[in-house]
Parts: sequence; C-alpha cells; structure tokens
Amino acid sequence: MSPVNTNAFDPPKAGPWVAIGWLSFAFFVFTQVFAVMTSPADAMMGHLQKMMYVHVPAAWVTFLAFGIVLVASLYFLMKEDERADLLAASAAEVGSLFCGLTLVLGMLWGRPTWNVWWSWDARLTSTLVLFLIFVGYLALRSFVEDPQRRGQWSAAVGILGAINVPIVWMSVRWWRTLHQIQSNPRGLSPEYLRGLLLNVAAFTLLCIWFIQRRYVAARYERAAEHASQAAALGGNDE
Amino acid sequence: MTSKKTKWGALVAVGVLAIAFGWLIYGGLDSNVVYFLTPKELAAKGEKGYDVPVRLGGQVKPGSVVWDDKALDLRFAVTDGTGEIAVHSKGAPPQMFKDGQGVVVEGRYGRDGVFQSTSLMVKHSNEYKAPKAGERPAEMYKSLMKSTKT
Amino acid sequence: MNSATVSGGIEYVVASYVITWVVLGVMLVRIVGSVRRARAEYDQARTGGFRT
Repeated sequence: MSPVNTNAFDPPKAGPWVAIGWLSFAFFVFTQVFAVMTSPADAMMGHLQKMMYVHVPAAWVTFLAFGIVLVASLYFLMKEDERADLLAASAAEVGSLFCGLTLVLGMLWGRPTWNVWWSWDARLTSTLVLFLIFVGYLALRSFVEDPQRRGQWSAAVGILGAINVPIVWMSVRWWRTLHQIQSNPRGLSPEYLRGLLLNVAAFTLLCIWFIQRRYVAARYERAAEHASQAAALGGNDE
Repeated sequence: MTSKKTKWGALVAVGVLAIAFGWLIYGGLDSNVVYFLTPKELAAKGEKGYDVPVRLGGQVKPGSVVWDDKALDLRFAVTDGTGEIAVHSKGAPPQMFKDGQGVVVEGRYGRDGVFQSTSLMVKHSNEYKAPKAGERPAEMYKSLMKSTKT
Repeated sequence: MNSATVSGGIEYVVASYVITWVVLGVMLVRIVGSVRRARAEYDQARTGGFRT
C-alpha cells in the first residue's frame, strides 16, 4: 500500500448529476423516436438505414470513452493522482460496453446489407481487437490489488489500447475493407443527418453520465476502504 | 500483497493482450489488410492466382448478370474498370445486389477463367438518400402497417 | 433480377433497437445501484459500521 496522493480518500462531491441523468435519458428516448419516425426508407437499404441511429452513435461514444481513458491514464502517470486512475477505469468500463454494442449492432446491420454477419476486414478486425484489449484492461484491474501498481499497469494498457482508436477510425481509408468509409454530411439526406446528429448528442450525454456515475461509485468505494482501514487502526481520523 | 490468484490473473490478462496485438499485426498485415484483390490484380498473379482461397472485389459489370431462379444459379462479371473476371455463384443474391453494385466474393479462381464464389458480399457506398424528395414518413408507416396486416 | 432495394429486414432493425434499449436500460439500473451501494458502504465505514 503506497498511496501517493490522498485526494481519492475523500468522498466525492455531490452535483446535479441525478437530474442530468434523467434529462439525458429523456433526451435519448426523444431522439430515438424522432429519428425513426422522421426517416423515409432509403433508396437502397430501405428501412435498414435506421440502424444508423444506434450503430453510429454507439461507435462514436466508444471512441469518446477510450479517448477519456487515454487522457486520464496519461494524467495518472504524470501526477500519480489516483482519481485519474479511477476515472480511466470508469471510462474503460463504459467504453467496452459501447464497443461490444457497436460490434453486435454492426453484425445485425451487416447480415441483411452485406450478406454476412462478419468478415475479417481491417475495420471489423481492428474494432474487435480494440474491444479485446479493453476487456483485458478490466480483467487486469480485477486481478491486481495494490492501487499504485494497478494504476500504473492499467494506465500502460489503457494508453496502448487507446492508440487503436485512430487505427480503427482510419482503417477504412488506409486499407481495402468491406466496411464503407465514413459518410460525410453531403452524402446523407437532411432527414437522416438531423436524426443522426441528435442521436450522437444523446449517446454522448448518456456516455458521459455513465462514466461520471461509475467514477463516483469508485470514489465512494475507495473512501470506504480508507475509512474502514483508519477505523481498524484505532481511532477515526476525521 | 501479490497472491497467487493475482499473479495468474495478470499473466492471463497480459497473454490475452499479447495475442490480440500479435493477431492484429501479423495475421492482420499478412492476409486481412489486403482484404480483396481487384480483377486486374488477380489476373496478374498468373499461375499463383488459380485454385487458392482468395477474395475478389469490384463492381458488378452492368448487363453481365444471368440469374437462373430455378437452379439458383448466378453468373456475373466483376470489373474494376480495366479488367474483369467472370464469377459463378450458387444461391440467391443478396437484396442489394444489382448492376454496378460494389461486391466482394470469396472463393477460388478456376483455370477455366471462372471464379467459383462460396460467399457473395455487398460493399455498399457511404451515401444514404431518400428515394424521392418529399416522401412522408407518416404515410410510409401507414402503408407498412397495412402490408403487415394482410 | 430483384429491384436491389431492400424491402424487408425490419426484424434486424427491431432487434438492434431492442438490444440497444435493453443494454442501456440495464446499464442505467446497475450504475444507479452501484453508486447507492458504494455510498452506503462509505457511510457505514465512516460511522464504524454499527449505526443503523
């Protein structure tokens, strides 16, 4: 046990996060219903175009969450502030979930349009590798008990994993893939673009809220550990 | 602090990561980064291009599609603008398959000059367009409901 | 030859929305639960664990 910084031992501050959570969810429900209801069938894909409003935002927030892992991990390695490690872990957890969701939704979209559930092209393969690295990250955390070592190891893996995000993003341009390249706003009918942007905003809010709540839970857990250790050592130090 | 469980768990985690990375870098670069060959590239391989599992990608040559719906037999040509290769496939084509459509086929290129496809995939564009301007989604849903009832 | 426009496939759309909603809903419930549990744990540890 060699805590370098005791900031993480204090309980987190309360904030307007409960209200933000409800608002985010209400907004999400609205954007989903709105996008589906205002989308005409696509000239090529018919109703399958509507997969866009879940698959694309899920992929976007995956990148966002792993970006947060990168920044928090670098900050932890520089400042040794345990709070940054807890934030990185929270973002990795939420990011992994969205990454898994992106993969599943992509398979469901691929089957009726591409004619296959899966193919080993660079986009799909690199996304799966991204997912596996962060599953490994979470497994690593659950096995290392010393907070400092856990922080350092997982920061290293987190940075390594996040380096894959630009690879996944660029994979459709760097290599020949089955997956099409990113759509640009001019390639989308305005009624699709509107619904897509609204859903990206809603997923972003939800993702940030999920990460913040996981972070608060982690802070409480650390504060509780510290408090019970202090009590066990005799005398509450507050 | 370091229990046995910890050590093994960390090792397993590191192992999983190493395999994932190795897979991306070696397996990936070797066969998946060149995900498909164009007709020209496959033809240029000469002897080495025949009878080995390979993916061929390009556009369906307009006017080349011959579909026998009784025998479920599909023939078409894949082109990249410069070269073209005849493809034979069994089973119904995917719904988005049409003249000019981007496709990737998996299979083997036979010495008879026909590519025997075992898997036919559609590589669609990144554009999404409503079929006609001003189509009302509300009416579309009504007709959809009707069509599911009957 | 068919028209090249996908006419069906609604079941894939429905499945992806159902999966998304279920995953996000379960996530919401679990996260709210984990914050509550952690806070209760903290309150208990701070007060020596014997106060009700």
